[in-house]
Amino acid sequence: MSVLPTIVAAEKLLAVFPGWSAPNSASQVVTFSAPLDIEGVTEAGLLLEGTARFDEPDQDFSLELVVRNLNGQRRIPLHRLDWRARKGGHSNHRRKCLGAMGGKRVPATHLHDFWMNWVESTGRMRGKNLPCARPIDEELQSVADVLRFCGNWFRINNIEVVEPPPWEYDLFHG
Amino acid sequence: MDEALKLSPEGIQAEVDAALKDLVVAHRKGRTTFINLPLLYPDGSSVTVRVDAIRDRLRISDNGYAYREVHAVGAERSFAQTAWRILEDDGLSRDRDTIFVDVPADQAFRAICDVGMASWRITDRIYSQLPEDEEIEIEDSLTERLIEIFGESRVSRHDKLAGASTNEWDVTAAVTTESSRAVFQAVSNHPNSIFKTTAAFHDIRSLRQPPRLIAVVRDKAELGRKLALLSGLGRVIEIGQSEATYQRAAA
Repeated sequence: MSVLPTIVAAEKLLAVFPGWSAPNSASQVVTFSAPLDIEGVTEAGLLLEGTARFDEPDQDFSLELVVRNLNGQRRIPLHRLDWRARKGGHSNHRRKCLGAMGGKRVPATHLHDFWMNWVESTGRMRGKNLPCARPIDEELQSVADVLRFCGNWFRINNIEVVEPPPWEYDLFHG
Repeated sequence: MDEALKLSPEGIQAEVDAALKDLVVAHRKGRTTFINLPLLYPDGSSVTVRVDAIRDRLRISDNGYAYREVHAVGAERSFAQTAWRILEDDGLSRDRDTIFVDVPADQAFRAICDVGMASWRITDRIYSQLPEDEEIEIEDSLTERLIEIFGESRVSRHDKLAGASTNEWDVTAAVTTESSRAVFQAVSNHPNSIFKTTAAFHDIRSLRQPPRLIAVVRDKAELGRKLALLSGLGRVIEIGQSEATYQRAAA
């Protein structure tokens, strides 16, 4: 697991953008899962994954840096940006999230920052699904803003190849 | 705590009012209402239900959020079976990744509570069945320790071993020396971890030539009576014990 900080800190490129899935017929969730390269090598199980809802444009969009199938764990989230989460703000775990953010609530747009969820002394992630998050210092007004922010923070240098979610805009959203 | 003490009574009331405001929040979009409930999924986000008006009834659903929670940790294969057990009791239904119920409008309150609770229970049950953080911590430390003591070439990590029943068991590591083969298994205090280990050890020791079986725990005293379950089937050492103890256990 001590390889995780190295992965997070490395400069990465999306090997390919595979496109968004068709909407799930029940939840309308659309997803993508794109492999990542580090120094020209497509790393096994290292992915950028996106989630949105087909019928919720400009809302409830997440991008996540993930490792799959490492050390017997099927999926390890590393960084996650939740933009305008329909579930609202996030509440930090009081015990697991140290420092000023422990027990605090953050707004509907927030970053589950790897460095808040990594325990250096044991070389492990806190909890199973990034229990600690912080607010974002800047306003993210659009998908382009979200991609730019994640490109910088996740160190993915060609994140612009990610297409916006295939949202369905209706009368309410123009 | 110190910060709270510095607040005036009005300041404290303002903090409480702010928390109250966030406990239950509704957002409307056309004929759809999203309701954030005062229950948290394991990742700290609010359990959220979606209310859609369909002719003269309401469809209350969890919008697929329980599924997303378990997908986040790679446990989506557990979703359908876990959901079935919980939904049947409450008279709820599932459509792929979404839990829902259709009710007359005057049953909205109960339906919102039932769907929200079911969504949370499914997630909680699946998360509780994931390898415990403690077990994973012990596993990682144990593997590193074994490599230090015995050398990388002698340690086979995350090994699979068939017992007398021919069932294959995942073990933390197997160590092969000139004179012996030993299985080291990380065990947390969680009942699932202990019972999984006892089942594996019982099966493996029934082999004609079983390896030495060693359960590695954080603290024997913390295990209490459960220590006897493990020691009845194999040796037990603590993760922090000396190299000599590891060597003796494996011999």
